[in-house]
Amino acid sequence: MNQSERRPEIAGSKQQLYMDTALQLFLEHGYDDVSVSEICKVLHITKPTFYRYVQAKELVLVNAFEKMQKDVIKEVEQLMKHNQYKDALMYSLTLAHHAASTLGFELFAVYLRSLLSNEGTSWQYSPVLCRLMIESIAKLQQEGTIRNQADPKQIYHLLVHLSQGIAVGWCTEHGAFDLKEFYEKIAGSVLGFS
Amino acid sequence: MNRQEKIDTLFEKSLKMFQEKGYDNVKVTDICSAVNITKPTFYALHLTKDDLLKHAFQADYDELDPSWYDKEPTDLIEAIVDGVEVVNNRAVSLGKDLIRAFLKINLTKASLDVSWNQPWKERMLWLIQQAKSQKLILNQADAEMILNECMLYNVGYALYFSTEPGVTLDRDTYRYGVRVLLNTPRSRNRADSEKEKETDRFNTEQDEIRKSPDDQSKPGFLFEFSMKGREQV
Repeated sequence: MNQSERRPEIAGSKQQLYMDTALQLFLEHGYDDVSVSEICKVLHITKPTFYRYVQAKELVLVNAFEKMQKDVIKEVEQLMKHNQYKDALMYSLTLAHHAASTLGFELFAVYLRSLLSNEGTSWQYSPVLCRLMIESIAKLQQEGTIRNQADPKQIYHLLVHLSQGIAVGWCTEHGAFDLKEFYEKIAGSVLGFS
Repeated sequence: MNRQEKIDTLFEKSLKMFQEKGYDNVKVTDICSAVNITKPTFYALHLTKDDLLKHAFQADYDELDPSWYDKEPTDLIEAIVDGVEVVNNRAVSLGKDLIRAFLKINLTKASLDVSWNQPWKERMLWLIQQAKSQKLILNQADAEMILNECMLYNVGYALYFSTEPGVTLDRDTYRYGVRVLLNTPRSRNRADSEKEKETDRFNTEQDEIRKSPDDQSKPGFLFEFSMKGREQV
C-alpha cells in the first residue's frame, strides 16, 4: 500500500490535480483530441495510476461541474446572509450557464452526452442549492419582488427545466448567443420582477 | 412503391426497430433489408438514420382535437397547455431510450431541422395573444418568446425525464409547470388576493402585444430558436 492510499487527503488532492490538469488540456485542445496517454505524459504518471484516481475521462467534466456547484453554493449562502435574495436566486439560476460558459459549448455538449449515454446519471442540482433557491423564491414573493405567486417549489422545478433546456439549446446552436443574458431575460419574464 | 410510400414505410419500420433494439443497435443496412430496398436506394431518398429518428419526434398534432384549431376555446389557458403538452406527449411516448438518443444526436450534430408545424404554431401564438390581452397570462415576454420558453421547458423536461432514474410522467405536475411558466392567476395561491390590486395595475403596464415578424429562417430542435425572439424579451 502506498502513501497516498493510506492518507485520503493526499489521494483527494492528487485526484484533483489530475482532474484539473486534464480539464486544462481539454479546454486547450478539445476533448476528443486529448487522450489519456497525453494527460499522463504531462503529469509524468502512468495510465494505471491515472485510472486509479480518475476512473473515466468523462468524470473530469462531471467533477468540474460539481466543483463549480460548490463554489456557487458558498456564494449564494453569503448573499442570503445579507438578505440579497434576488442576487442569490439569479446567481444560482445561472449556475448551469456559468459552468457551460467556462467549459465552452463543445465540452459542455460532451458532458451532456455522457449523462445521456450512461444510464442512471442525471444533471442534478444539489439538494442544498435546491433548498436555498426555494427559500429565496419564497422570500422574494413575500417582499413582492417577484410577481409569480405559484408554489415556490414548482417555480424552482420550472426554472431548472428551463435552465437545462436552454443549455441544451445553447450547445446545439454552438454557443451562438449569450447564455447568461438569455437566461436572465427568460427567468425575468417568468418570475415577473417588479 | 412510389417515393413517398417508400419514405413512409421507412419511417414506420425504422421506428419499430429503434424501439425494439435501441437506436445505436440498428444499422441502415438492417432498415433497408426490413423494407426490401438497397442502401443506394435509401440514400437516393436523401435520408439519414438521424432523419428517421428526428421524424419520430415530430409531433403529429393529430392528438389535438380538430376544434383546437378553429373554435373559440372555453378555457384559453387549458388550450395553450394542451398545445404545449402535445409535443411532450410525443417525446414521452417514444420512451426514455429514444429521447436520450435524440438529444444525443442533437448535441453531436447541431440544430437538426425539425420545424414546427405551421398551423400549430400560428394557433399557439393566437391563443397566447388572446390570453395576454385578457390578462390571463402575466408572463412579461411577447407571445413568440413565450412559445419559445414553452418549448425550452419541453427540452429541459425531456432531459430530466429521460435521465433521472425512476421518473414517470406526472401529467398534472407537467401541466402545472406550463401554467407557472405562463404565470396564470390560477397558478397563484389563495394568499394572493391581497396582491390582486397591485397585479391589476401591473397588468395594464404590460398588455402591449408585439407580433414579431414571421421568421421562417431557422427551425431548431423541438423549438425555434430565433435570434429575433431572443432580443424581444
